[in-house]
Amino acid sequence: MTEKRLSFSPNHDEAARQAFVGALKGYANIVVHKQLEAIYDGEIAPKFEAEHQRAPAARDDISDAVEGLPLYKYWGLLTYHSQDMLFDSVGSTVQRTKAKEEATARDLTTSSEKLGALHLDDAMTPSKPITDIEIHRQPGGYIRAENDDDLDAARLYAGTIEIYRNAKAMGDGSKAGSDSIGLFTSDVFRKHYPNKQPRRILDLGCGTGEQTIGFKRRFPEADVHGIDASAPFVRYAHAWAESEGEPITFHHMNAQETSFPDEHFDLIVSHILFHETSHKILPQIMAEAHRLLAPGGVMLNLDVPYQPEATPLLKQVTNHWQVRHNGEPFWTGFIQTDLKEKLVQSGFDREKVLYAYEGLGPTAAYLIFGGEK
Amino acid sequence: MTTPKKEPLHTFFDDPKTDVLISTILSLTTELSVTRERLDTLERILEQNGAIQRDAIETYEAPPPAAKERAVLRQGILTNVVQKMNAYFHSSSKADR
Repeated sequence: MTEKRLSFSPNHDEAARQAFVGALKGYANIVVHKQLEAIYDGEIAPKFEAEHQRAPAARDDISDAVEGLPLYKYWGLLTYHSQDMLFDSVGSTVQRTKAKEEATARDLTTSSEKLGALHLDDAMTPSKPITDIEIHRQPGGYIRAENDDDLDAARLYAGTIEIYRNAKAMGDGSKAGSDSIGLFTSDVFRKHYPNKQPRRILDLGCGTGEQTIGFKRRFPEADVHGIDASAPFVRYAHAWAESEGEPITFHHMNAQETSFPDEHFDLIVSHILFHETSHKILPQIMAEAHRLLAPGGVMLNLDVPYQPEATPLLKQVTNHWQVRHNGEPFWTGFIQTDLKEKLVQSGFDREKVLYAYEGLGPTAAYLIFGGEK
Repeated sequence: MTTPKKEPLHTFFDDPKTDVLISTILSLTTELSVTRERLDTLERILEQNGAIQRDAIETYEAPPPAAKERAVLRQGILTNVVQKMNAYFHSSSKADR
C-alpha cells in the first residue's frame, strides 16, 4: 500500500517565479519603505512641526503629505502588483497539480484508516467579510468552490501565506505547509500559563489547518478541533491533517456562533483571525469563546502588532493602505480597537486579561491577547 | 451562497499608463529572473556531469524541431510580458469610442 501525501510542489520555473515575487515584495516592504521613512523623518515631520509648533501625533496629521509622494505611489504600485504576481505564480502550481492533489485528498479523507473527522454543514452561512471581499485580494476569495472536491481556494491560500509572511518580515523563513505559528503560539501559552495542561483545544478560524496541527504536536494528548467559515478551507485542513498523520476534528462553523456546549474547551486559540472580522463580530467571537471555556480555561489569540501605541506614524499610513488596496477591510478598525476592554466586556476578568507582544524568529513580533476564565 | 466579486484594477499614478508600464516592467523582470535561474541550474548540472563545454553554448544552432519549440516559448513570454499593456490599450480604445 502506498502512503499518499499532499504537497505543494512547484516545478523549477514556478519556484523561481515565486522566489522572485517574494524578493520583490520584500524590496517594497523593506527597501522602499525605509526610503519613505527617511523622507518622512527628514522632511515631512520637521515641516509639520514648523507649521504647527508640535510633533505630528496621529495618522491624519501626515497622511496627505505622505500620500502625495511619488515614492509612496510607487511603493503602493509595487505592493499591489506583487500581490497579483504572488497569486499568479502560486496559481500556476495549484492548477498544474490540481487533479493529482485533489485525488490524493479524496483518498486520504475517505480512507477507512483515517485518524480525524470533518463536519460540514450545508445550512451554514459564512459571515461577512469573506462573503463579499477577496481577502488579501486572493482571486475568488476564500469560499469559492466549483464542487465538493475543489480545493483551489485553500491550496492558493496555503501556497501563498508563507511567501507573504516572510516578505513582510513576519515569518521565520518557513515554507508552505509549515506549522511554525501553531508551535510558536503553543510556546507562548506555555510561557504565560506554565502549569496548565489543556485536554481539549479549539482553533478558531483555523484556515487551511497547518497551525491547528502545530497545537496537536505540542499537546499530543489533547483532543484538538479546528473551525472555519470557509468550507473549502476545512475540507483541505482535514485532508492536510490526515496527510500529516495528526488526528484532528474540523468543523465548518462561524466562530461567533458555534454549536459546542458550554465550558467544552480548556484552551481556545486563533491566529491572524480577528483582523479579518469586523467591529460587530469581534466582540461576538470573544463572548462565544468565553461561553465555551471551562473555568480556568484560557483564550489566546495571535494577531498583527500594528496598534497605534506600538507603531510609528508612517507605518500607520502604509498600513491603512491595506484597507483600500489589499482586501483588508478591518485592518485599521482592528488595530484601533481596545482589545483589553472588549475582552472585559465579553466576560473576562480585567486582572486575568493577557495583552503582550511576543517575538518570532529574528524579525517578527505579534500581538498576543486573551485571558483566563 | 454569495462569493466575492473581483474589484476593478487599482491605479496609483495620475496617468494610469505609468502604472501599466511599471507593472509590465515587473512582469518582464520576473521572467528574466526565472530564465536566468533556469540557465544557471542547467549550466551547473551539465558542468558537474562533464556534459558540456561552455564554448559550445556560444556556437549552438537549433535544428528545426527545437527551433519550432523555441518559437512557442518565445510567443508565450511575449504574451506574458505585454498582456498588461495590451489589456490597458485595448480597453481604453473601447472606452474612447
